[in-house]
Parts: sequence; structure tokens; C-alpha cells
Amino acid sequence: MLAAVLTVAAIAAAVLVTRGDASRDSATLSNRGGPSIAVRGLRMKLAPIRSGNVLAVRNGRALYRLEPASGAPCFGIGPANDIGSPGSVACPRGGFPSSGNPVLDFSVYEGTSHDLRELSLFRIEGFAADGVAAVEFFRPNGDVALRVRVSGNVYTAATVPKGPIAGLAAVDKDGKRVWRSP
Amino acid sequence: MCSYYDNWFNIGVAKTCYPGCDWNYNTTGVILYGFENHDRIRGRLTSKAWNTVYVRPSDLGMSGLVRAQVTWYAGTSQLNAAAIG
Repeated sequence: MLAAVLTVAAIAAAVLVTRGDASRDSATLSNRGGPSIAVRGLRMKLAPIRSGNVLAVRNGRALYRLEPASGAPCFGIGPANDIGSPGSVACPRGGFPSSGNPVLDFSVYEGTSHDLRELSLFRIEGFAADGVAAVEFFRPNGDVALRVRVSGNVYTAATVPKGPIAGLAAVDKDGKRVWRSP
Repeated sequence: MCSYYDNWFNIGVAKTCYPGCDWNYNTTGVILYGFENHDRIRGRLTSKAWNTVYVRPSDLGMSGLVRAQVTWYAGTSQLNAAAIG
């Protein structure tokens, strides 16, 4: 009886340990970026970052893979005319990507007030796992407002569609939706 | 929730799994975190409890006196947010 309890506990512990852990996941990000560069200007007590790699420069934006002092890599985006100084950073717990989280969207949304629940796009940018060919942004009625091609594990768009956006989806090379949010 | 108007350097947000999240750290709580002024509110959307995120006003195309904000859009989720100036 005790052995059975311990076995169940061990299985449960193993499941808990592997939860969301990208290092044990089949999802990959093959773009390793250019040479390591110094990263400055980040005042992030919880995730001190000193270096990173530029994965791509697109549409005036630099997209980074960042190396924190400890833990899984962070990701950042900032102006291309100030390389090494990302203006936005995300540090996904357990790492990115994973099969359940193949897209790390950095797109900027805007509205006119707290009270209006309708948001439109101000900028489109983000990171996607290998196998994600494009990211679709859709309207509240489900229509696709824009499809942005993923290249080198990143996506950006030079222009954004007007009007409300209700979510996004990742699609593979065959056009099949493999993930969506929300 | 939002701050007072100031020349903020950035806002940082850390969502938690409380009261619950799924296998991929999805919570039911959808938030927009970023900044606002008198004309508009801008930020990034997330429902993940997996992320610690930071953003500067300039990265949202905003400058001058702004309020750091986190706006709830759906669901329930605990989070910690702070802005530094």
C-alpha cells in the first residue's frame, strides 16, 4: 500500500516538474540570432539581463533573444536604431517556445478608454516556434483581419488593419490553425 | 488600475496562477498592460501566468506624462504590477 502511494506521488511529482517546461518539449526556436551583444538600459530587478542576440531586424524593430543571469531566455523588442536597448521584455516561466505556447506575441493594442472593450492594433510583432508559418489576427466575428508571415521565428507587419481585433492564431504551412489566443 | 501621471520609465507585470491556470499557464484573466494618456490607452494583451513582462512608454509610441495601467478585460487572475520612474 505504501509503495503504491509513493509510486503515485512520484508520478505526480514528475508530472508537476515537467509542466510547461520548454526544455522537455518538442517545440523549438531554431533562429539563434547573431553574435552576443551587450544589453543596456533595462531596470529589471527580477530578471537582470546583460547580453542577448538579435534574431532579426524588421520594419524598424529589433527582435532579441535575451540571456538573464539565471533561468530560461527572455525575449525583447525595441527600436532598430538603438540596438542593445529593448523597450519591451518578456520572460516566460519555463521558457519559450512550448507546444502549448508556440507564439509569444508582442503586438501593441490600443483603445480610447478603459470602458470601451474594443481594441485595435497599433503594431504587430512577435516570436513564433518552428513550424508556425504565419500568424492570423481575427475580428470579433472570426473573420481574418490580417495574416502575417513568420520568417526566422519572428513576425512583424509594416501596417496594421483598422478596426477591432479579438484574437490571434498560429497557422502551419498548410494553413491549418495549430494554436489560438484567446 | 493605474498610476498617477508622470514620466514613467517602464511598467512591470507578473501574473500568477491564482486562482488557477491550465497546463500551459493560461489563466482566464485577460489584461492589457501598458500606459495611457488623455486620448488613448495602449499596451499588450496577455492571459498567461507564465510571463514577467516589462514595457516602456516609448515602445508603445507614447511619451511625456502618462499613467501606467493594467486593464482587466476578462476572467480572473491575480497579478503584481509596478511602475518605476
